[in-house]
Amino acid sequence: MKIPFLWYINLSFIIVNLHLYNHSKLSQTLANIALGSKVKVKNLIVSEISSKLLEMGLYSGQEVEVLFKAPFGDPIAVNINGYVLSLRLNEASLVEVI
Amino acid sequence: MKFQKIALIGNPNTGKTSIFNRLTGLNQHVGNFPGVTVDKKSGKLKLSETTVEIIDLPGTYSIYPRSKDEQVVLDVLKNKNHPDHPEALIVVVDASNLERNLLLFTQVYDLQIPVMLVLNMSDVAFKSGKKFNHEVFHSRFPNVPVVETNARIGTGINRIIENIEKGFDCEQFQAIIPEYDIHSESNSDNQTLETNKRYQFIKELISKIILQDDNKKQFKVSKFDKVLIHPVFGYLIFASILLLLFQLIFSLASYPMDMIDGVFGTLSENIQAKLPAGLFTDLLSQGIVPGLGGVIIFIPQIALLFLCLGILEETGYMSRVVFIMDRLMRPFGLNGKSVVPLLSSAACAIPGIMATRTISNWKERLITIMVAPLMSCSARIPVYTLLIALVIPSQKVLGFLNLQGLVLFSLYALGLISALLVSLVMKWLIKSNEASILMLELPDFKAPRWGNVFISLFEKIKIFIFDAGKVILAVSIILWAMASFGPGDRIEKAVQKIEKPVQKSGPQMEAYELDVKNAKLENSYMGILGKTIEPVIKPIGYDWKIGISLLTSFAAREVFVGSMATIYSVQDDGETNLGLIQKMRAEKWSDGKPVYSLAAGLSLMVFYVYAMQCMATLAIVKRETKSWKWPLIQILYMGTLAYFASFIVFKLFS
Repeated sequence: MKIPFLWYINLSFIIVNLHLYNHSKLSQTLANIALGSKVKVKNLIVSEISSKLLEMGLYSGQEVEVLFKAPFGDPIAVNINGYVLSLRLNEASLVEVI
Repeated sequence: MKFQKIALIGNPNTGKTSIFNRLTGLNQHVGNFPGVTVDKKSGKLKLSETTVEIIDLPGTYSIYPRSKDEQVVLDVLKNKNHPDHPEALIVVVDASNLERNLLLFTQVYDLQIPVMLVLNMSDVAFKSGKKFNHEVFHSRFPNVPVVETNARIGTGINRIIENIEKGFDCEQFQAIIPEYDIHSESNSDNQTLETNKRYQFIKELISKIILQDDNKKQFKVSKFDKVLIHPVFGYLIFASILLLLFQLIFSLASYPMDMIDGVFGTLSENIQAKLPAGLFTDLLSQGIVPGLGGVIIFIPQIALLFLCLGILEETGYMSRVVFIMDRLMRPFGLNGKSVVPLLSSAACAIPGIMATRTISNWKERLITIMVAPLMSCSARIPVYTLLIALVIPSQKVLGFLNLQGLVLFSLYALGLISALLVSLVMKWLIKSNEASILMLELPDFKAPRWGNVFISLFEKIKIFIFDAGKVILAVSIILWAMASFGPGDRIEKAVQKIEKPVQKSGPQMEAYELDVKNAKLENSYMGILGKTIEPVIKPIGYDWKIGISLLTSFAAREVFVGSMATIYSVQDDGETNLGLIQKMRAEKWSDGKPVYSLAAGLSLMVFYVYAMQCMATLAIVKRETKSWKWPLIQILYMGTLAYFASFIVFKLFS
């Protein structure tokens, strides 16, 4: 009697996981971009520092390239329109890119 | 329209400071903006008829403040009654990065202040053949004069001056953001909306005014960056540069320092010999001249340090240091930007603490300020070297290491490690919900602009002479007075008590004279104060003479050596030529044991690593934190650390 119920729970887990997986794929951020790859800023996740990120040139549609990373992988340096900005991973994770 | 006050504004790394230096030369003045702690750099520009005051506002990306440095810009610009509110603005933009730079231009343009635009072309922008369409820009901004410059070689500066002379206004003002009111834009959502609109405007403008845009070209990571941020070489290079820098300071600075020492020593002797004996001569030769010497002797070190740091900053290397150090500093509650202030504190905590202004996060800045004086500053060097020469034998360890050098290194290491550990504790104690951000521009590597390096060097030395120098000189005079006078006739009575020898010459008379000097010093105000604290400092191995020097050191650490010399030269009749070290070695407790044993010497060194003995630093901390709370906490925590660490060291080695 209990087996179908458990199945149901399992299934819902799979659905949730799938959803999370898709979501993470969709909301790729500047923090998890490979070195050398060029991306476009899609959106800034609302935070205390979003206007600061914007002032540094990270508006929607801006092309960004990850140039290099500091020895422990954090912070990273990106090319924005011909200048180099360094930012921490937690700052970069607020920049959704495509 | 004749201007009297014009402000320079621009993003960091645009060449704004170069233009300011070109306009004002050495005719500069560092003051304060009323109510805030940020330095106000201003200078005079002489025109054919009038003189204009040029204010160099701190570099900023936007008029919306993120740090205390940037707050000033907003205060000055929006408040028409602010004493530094300018009649006109010169916006300096980096021509190779117009898009982000023009954001600030559009913001200040909308404030309806007359604006001049300076397109500072780096050599790179010139070579790539970038052309600016002045006609199109002029049709949109008819009142805004545009000047192309190359501040590095000085082209275009004359055109800036011509435009200032001619004057400019904002009569045909056409707002970029209509109905723009900066007072209502404090909300961050509105700011985001507004900034996006501005970028849209800028993108359209740039497509029309830049005739040849090569922004799309491939951006290459510089060879330097590949090495300087390398996980192994990056740190190795940083360590080597530090080692080289300190080697340079210590080896080169000693020559001018010995010279200054010699000159002031001779001057003192001559005054004593040539002028009629009396109070004034004593004041001059024992108070004022050694005091001035004590200020000037530090200039070689400070100059060399700021020369090196200035060059590293100008070349763009410092921002790479911030980049590779940030992750390492974060666990301690610090920021990559804390590295430069802490390093500067290895020369002097005052410029170090002033350099913390670039740290926008208040908690990280405060922690950096609080631990900066733990870094062994140059004022401790004379104390360390004196004590090391006194108690540490000059011998080799492991065949090649000099034991004295090793001890000096350990003292520096102790300071650094303690600074990090105290940071860790403060990270837990100080509460804050402000986000910690790094976000900084890594400028291109370039040759240092020597004009900028030397002008900033000149300024730092000026600040040292006038801010710290005052204190050192004043303390030297107070010291002399305290050692020369006592309450009532106490000194005379003590001297009368000593039996006079029958013979007027010979060893008996010499011993008598020494006793008299001793009695005089012991009964002066300084002696009384030193003796009062002797019971407190005896457990850590110090006598009342060290007590006096500790007290006088609270004004500035280097005073320790000076007051030791004063104490022992007061005691000395001036005929024997024993060095200070030999005199200190000969000093005995009443039970015959030497005062300066290994244990007491080490204990004293450790005391100087920890104790907050610098009035000038305390004054700076008060100014930077805007309350006496933090300097008081600092003096208490450092004093407690010093006492207990010295106690442990003294017990371990005795």
